[in-house]
Amino acid sequence: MNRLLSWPIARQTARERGLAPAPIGIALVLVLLAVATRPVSPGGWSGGASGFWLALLALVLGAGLLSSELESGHAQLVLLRPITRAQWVGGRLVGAALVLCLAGAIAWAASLVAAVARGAFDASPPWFALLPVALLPHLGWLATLCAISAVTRGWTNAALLLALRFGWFFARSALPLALPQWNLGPWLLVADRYFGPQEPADAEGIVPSLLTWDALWLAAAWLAAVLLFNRRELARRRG
Amino acid sequence: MTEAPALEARGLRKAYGTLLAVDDLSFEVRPGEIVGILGPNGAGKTTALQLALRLLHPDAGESRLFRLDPEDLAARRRVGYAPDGAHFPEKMSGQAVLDLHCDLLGIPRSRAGALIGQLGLDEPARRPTATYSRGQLQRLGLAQALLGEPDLLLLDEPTAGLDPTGVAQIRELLVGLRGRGTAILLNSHLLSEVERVCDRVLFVKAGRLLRTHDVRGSVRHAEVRLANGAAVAERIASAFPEGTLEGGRFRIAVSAEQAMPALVRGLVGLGAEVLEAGIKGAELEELYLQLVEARA
Repeated sequence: MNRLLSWPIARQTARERGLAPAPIGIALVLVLLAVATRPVSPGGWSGGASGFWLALLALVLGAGLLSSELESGHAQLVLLRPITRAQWVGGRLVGAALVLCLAGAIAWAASLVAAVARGAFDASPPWFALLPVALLPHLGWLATLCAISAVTRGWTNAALLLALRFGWFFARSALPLALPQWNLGPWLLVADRYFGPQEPADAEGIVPSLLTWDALWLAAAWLAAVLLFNRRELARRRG
Repeated sequence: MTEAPALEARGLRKAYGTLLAVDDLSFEVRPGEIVGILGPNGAGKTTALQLALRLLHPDAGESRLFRLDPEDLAARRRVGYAPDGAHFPEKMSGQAVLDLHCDLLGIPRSRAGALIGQLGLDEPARRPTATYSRGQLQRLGLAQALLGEPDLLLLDEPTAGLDPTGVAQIRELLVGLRGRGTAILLNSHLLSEVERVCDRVLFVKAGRLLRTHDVRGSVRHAEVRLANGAAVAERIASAFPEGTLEGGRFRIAVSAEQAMPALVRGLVGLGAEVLEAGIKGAELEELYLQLVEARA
């Protein structure tokens, strides 16, 4: 068994999360968007509305990723098996990530087929790399949700992350207007580049530094999830 | 017994704020031994089990499983735990739950099939666990605990929600496992069941161990219900002067369950019409009331 993750846990998590109605519905929307609204190039599908739906899918898949199992009591039984806490956390994260990747891959393939069918396929960008590039920031957010879920209850990890993102968006927009004398705009713009995973591709192509940042963020969030979960008690006090 | 304990707990302590759930609790369970934990609700029995398995972090003290840290994977491979009111992912079928645990243990999935049959889960095993009754969840919890053929089994109220047949099945199962050398720690409210299967009983109150009682070494009481108690009272009193007959119920101390047939034959020989006979848990009950409820 892999030291970083338990594959039986990953398979079970992928089934549990992937067969829920919400992820299936979001995956269908992604495919429809890929076919209907992004006909020009296979790389175009991950931006705009599709990007929003991918982020929403990551949010749904990551909501209560660890806490739901802990609160149901099943994690107690699973973690009495010969697997480490790190392997369990890795299994839960990778299982949810597999669903995200599968949904993305299906939408990406649909986009590719649609582009070829319309004679609009553009082979000039590294089209084969666009799928992992598009998925990487969402995988980073999924790992972040996993880390928060190690210390929160129920789906509050998703609510907390949304609050943080909206709070940051509000601060970034409102603070320069509210406090013009402090000239916060440039500082906030710089800080924004480090607030969570970034979209690693822009109009000019893939930005390697952003790609590296996202990969580091993903690894750091995974590590944080393991470290935080190692400190958590598995049983609850009964009422 | 000289074998190393399967489970050792030394000075376990756990507090939730100002509430002391477990206080300086020490005990051990040896291979081939069934140890019961008795105490009122909130006595810390479940917390003690969870501390022993390190599902909770103790504030003080430590536990060892087969002389290893409870989080050591080699120790976990030898342990089975069935919590009270076990919960499983609601959309998973019982079969899928057991298959997952087989995969985690690295054992063939056929082991799950065998336990499903043994514990009467053939039909429910195909359904999502959300549709299970309390008794079916208990059986599934027990099945997952038994999957790895553990050397140490911790059971928290295993008969809660079970029908009488289920209770008898669990009793037979536990006795069979003890015969194979499995160490069992049993938390149950059923005094009669505890008295019938346990070798030792730990009386716990307010998180503290009040007393350890050796069930096997103690005198047990037979109780025989008679249809014509009044008519044969004199003959019984002379034949069994150490017994008592009140309201058609004859009680007498016996060394073991095996003494029952001879006792019943003796009573029938005296002309008594026996309606019912059995070993009663009165002694444990009396002890429980004295120790836990502090009644004289």
